Amino acid sequence: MYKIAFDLAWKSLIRRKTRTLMVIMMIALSLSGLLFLQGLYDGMVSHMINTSIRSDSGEISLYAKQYRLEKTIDYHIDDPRAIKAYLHQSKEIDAYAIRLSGEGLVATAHKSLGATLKGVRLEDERRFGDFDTFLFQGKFDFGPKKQEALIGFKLAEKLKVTTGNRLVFTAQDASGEINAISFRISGIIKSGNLAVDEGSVFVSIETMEQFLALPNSATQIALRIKDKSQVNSIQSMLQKKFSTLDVLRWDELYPLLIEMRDMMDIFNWLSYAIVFAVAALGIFGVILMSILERMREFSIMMAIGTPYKNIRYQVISEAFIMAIAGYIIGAILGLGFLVYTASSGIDLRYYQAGLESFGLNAILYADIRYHYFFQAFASVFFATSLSILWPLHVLKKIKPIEIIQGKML
Amino acid sequence: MRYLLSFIIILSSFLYGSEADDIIKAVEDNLRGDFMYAKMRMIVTGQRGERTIEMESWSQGDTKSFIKILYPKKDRGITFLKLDTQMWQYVPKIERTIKIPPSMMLQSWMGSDFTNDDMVKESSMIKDYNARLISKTASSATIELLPKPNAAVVWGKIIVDVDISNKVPTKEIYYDDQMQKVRIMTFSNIQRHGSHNLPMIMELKPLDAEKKKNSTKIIFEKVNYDTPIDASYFSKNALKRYSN
Amino acid sequence: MLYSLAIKNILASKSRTLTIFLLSMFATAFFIVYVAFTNGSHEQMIKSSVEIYTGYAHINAKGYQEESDYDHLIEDAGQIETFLNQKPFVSNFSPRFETYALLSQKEKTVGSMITGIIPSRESSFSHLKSSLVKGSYLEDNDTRAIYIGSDLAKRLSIDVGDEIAMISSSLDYSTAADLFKVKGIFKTGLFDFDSSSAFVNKTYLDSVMMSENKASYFVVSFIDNKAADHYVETLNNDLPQNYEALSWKTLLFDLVQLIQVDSLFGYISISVFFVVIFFVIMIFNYVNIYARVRQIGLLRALGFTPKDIRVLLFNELLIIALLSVSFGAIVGAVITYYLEIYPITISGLAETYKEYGIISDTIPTHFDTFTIIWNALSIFILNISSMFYPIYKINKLSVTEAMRYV
Repeated sequence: MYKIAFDLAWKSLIRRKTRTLMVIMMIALSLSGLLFLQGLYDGMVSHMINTSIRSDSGEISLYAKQYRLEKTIDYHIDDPRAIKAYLHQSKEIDAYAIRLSGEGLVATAHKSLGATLKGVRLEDERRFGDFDTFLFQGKFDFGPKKQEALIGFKLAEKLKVTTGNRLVFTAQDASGEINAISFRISGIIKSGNLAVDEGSVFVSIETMEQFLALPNSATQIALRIKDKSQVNSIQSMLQKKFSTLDVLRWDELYPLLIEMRDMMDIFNWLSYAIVFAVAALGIFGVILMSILERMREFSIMMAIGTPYKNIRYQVISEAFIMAIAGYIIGAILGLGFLVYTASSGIDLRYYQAGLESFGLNAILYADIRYHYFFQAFASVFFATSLSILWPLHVLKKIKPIEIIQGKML
Repeated sequence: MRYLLSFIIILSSFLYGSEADDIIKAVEDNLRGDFMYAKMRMIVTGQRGERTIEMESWSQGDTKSFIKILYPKKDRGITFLKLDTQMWQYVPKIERTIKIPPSMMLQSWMGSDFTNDDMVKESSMIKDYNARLISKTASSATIELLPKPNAAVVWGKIIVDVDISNKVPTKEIYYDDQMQKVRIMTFSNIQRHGSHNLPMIMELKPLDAEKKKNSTKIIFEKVNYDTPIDASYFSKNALKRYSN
Repeated sequence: MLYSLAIKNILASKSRTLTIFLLSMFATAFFIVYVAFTNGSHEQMIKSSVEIYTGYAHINAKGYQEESDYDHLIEDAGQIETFLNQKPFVSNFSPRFETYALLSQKEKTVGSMITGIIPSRESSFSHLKSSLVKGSYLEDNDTRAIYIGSDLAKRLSIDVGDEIAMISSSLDYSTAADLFKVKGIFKTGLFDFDSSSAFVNKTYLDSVMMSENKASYFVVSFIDNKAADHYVETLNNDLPQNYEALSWKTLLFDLVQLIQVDSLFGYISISVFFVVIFFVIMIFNYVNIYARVRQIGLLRALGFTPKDIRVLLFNELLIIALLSVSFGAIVGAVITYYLEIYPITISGLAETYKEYGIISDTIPTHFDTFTIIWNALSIFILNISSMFYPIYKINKLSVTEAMRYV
């Protein structure tokens, strides 16, 4: 019985193919647009979050208390070996990076600027956040004698230096003496994290310990957590274990990023809501029209004994065939956009300065996540259901006899 | 034969290397005294014209020094104390002593072409540079100084002309890392003071396009080597105490 | 004749007309409010960067942007003063003398920007005065009074009434030193600015720095700051050779680009809304016309040419479009206007975003007649373009087909 209703629905859609196509195109185009936007915006935000985690905070960072506020080496972690040993055997922790940073002045023969000198181990950083992929120019290496440095690209631009050039870094050591140390630039870093790109010079941590007269010390220990859903519980566990330290999550260190992500989510939902509210109106118009046009037809069907639910089924089928066709085309189209944008990116190098000042890459890559398509399907389904409520109500009030007699309409 | 030849080349370059070192060391030993008092005039020429500063300085080795400004009148009594790598300044007008923060180390000192860092740094050419003899006559030598790999100096190299008999430099050309000339220092009017020879006039000329018109000239008017200087000059109390 | 028929038709199919009407009205109003929000937030970004301190244009000696030292000062500020006074399109201007100085309080010494300003003139176009949080703003006859950024005050651990020493280099490179009493503390919300700027009455600072009749640059605002670019060009044509005028777009290039990128994304987003609205209007137009296929067939049989039909239908849809878009524009304008006067406030917004220079808790909206007109026009064009296909389609039906159409 339903089969007949379904066939009828199909036939009626084909008979009025212009409006059927309009509805399908409406759903498909707006859906693919929404998918594309969602992926693009998610891509932007997750790029920013990702680079911040990889280039600095990890999922969790440990600092000496006060350090975040005062930013001086007076507040450092003494002897991180015990912590290191613990991290090493911990199963929850994927990788960690121990860093020793100091603020000072970086100079060439022509110019000097304030900067942060960060003592790191490149091997650890590579494991920690694939830091080597941020290399923009030169080598990812501190040289055989650890006298080479990596420098953020904006800082390099400002100092007008490139790989092979020499820099002198001046800073106050733990005893208050002002010392200087020189490095040759082995590589230039472009991470997308503004703090790194604009004001950091990376050197070997051993060199840094000597320079600051702080052997066996750290200012930050950043951790990568295996299971991202466990970050909160690991944080409180670590805080208990190392009560003299500040244990902070990345979203506490970069609160703005999480705010941005939330804003983007709200924006996405809002876009879906508005677009599909309008789209529902479109479907509604077509379905209502087709019902009104076929009042006589339906009346006759009812008069010869077709149950109301079959007719209702036919109307529902019509609506959902259009919706599903629209969804499939839209999803494929959207996926196409997304796959293209995820692999080739959108080139916005014309706006490079503006994007980079915000910590974004000049070439934007989209994210593709499964939930986009579920969310899209749910929206289409919901909009379609909503749009046929009223037409079905109209249908239910049909008085077949009167219509056939021409009293209604 | 080939072996012998290469041996001679190695030996001679070794010898040259050490000879250059010897010359530089002799110059540094000559200029450095255990104690030194000097009265000098500094003439700073810039885009806005010329100005003269007169000052007295007391130093012990190259880790401690004390400077007092005598002229212009406006700046009279300003004192500087340098102990190792740190520097303080006292300004009588406001009766305050301040420690020059690291961020100011590369700023100009008293508006001259020297930086605070130039005043403070115990840069020893022997310690920071590898010397190589480029040319030599009976009375003079030209030596190339290349920074040692870990020396904290901004220069790419320095070319020094030395007056061998007087053990003083006559000209120093400073290069940046790309081997572009950055500044030239010339030394003249050599005079003997006790066991030391000192060029009484030193002139610094920056070569950056922006600073074409600039120069800083230091003229020594009175020099006294090797007379012990009271330790009271090298404490923070001296800043105010010896200000007038 | 066709008009009155069109109006009759519109009134005849009330519900469909109403749907199209509401939809396109909603689209118009929505678009206007959306654009007003975007422009409002951009304007806020510009305001927070430009109006707090930078200003809409600068006049400085050539080379000052690259090397902001004493070799690139305006040597005769009076000359520029006279020059600017003669320009009718310049509404306000004021000289500033910026220099780097050490500020010292007991053990703490911090390097900071010290700027000599003319307090009364400055307050007419920068937000310095209104950013006061403690103490009071400078006055034109102040001497040893300093107006200091809140974070700088924190760094030096000083408060209103405390004394701090300033050491800098005066114009002849002699040491300029003086003691100042903290007169007021300001907070603009721009972190870098608040943590490294302090202000002193220019007349007094000039006597300390020996910078009488000198300036680092002049800040200029115009009778219409939107046309800043144009005025800057005019100034550049007339200025003495060794001076240049720069608009805020040059001074804050990164910000300008960021705003462009944001607008770009805004338009990409809104284009999705346009797509769906276009289709829905088209669907309704189509459905609306097809509902009257019989009537159209009848008209054709009565001797109406396809062109007449086209004009008739076009008139119908045009009337609806015109009415709905105008009505939508009015609604949008009213909402926008209301929001500009009573903006939405989210408390804590500025606190969260202060690093990005967001300085107020309100979500700004910008009311601009021109923008509203072009917004409405775009929706109107969207409306018109969605008419063609349905009208074309109906005219392809032959008279008999139309009459028999079920």
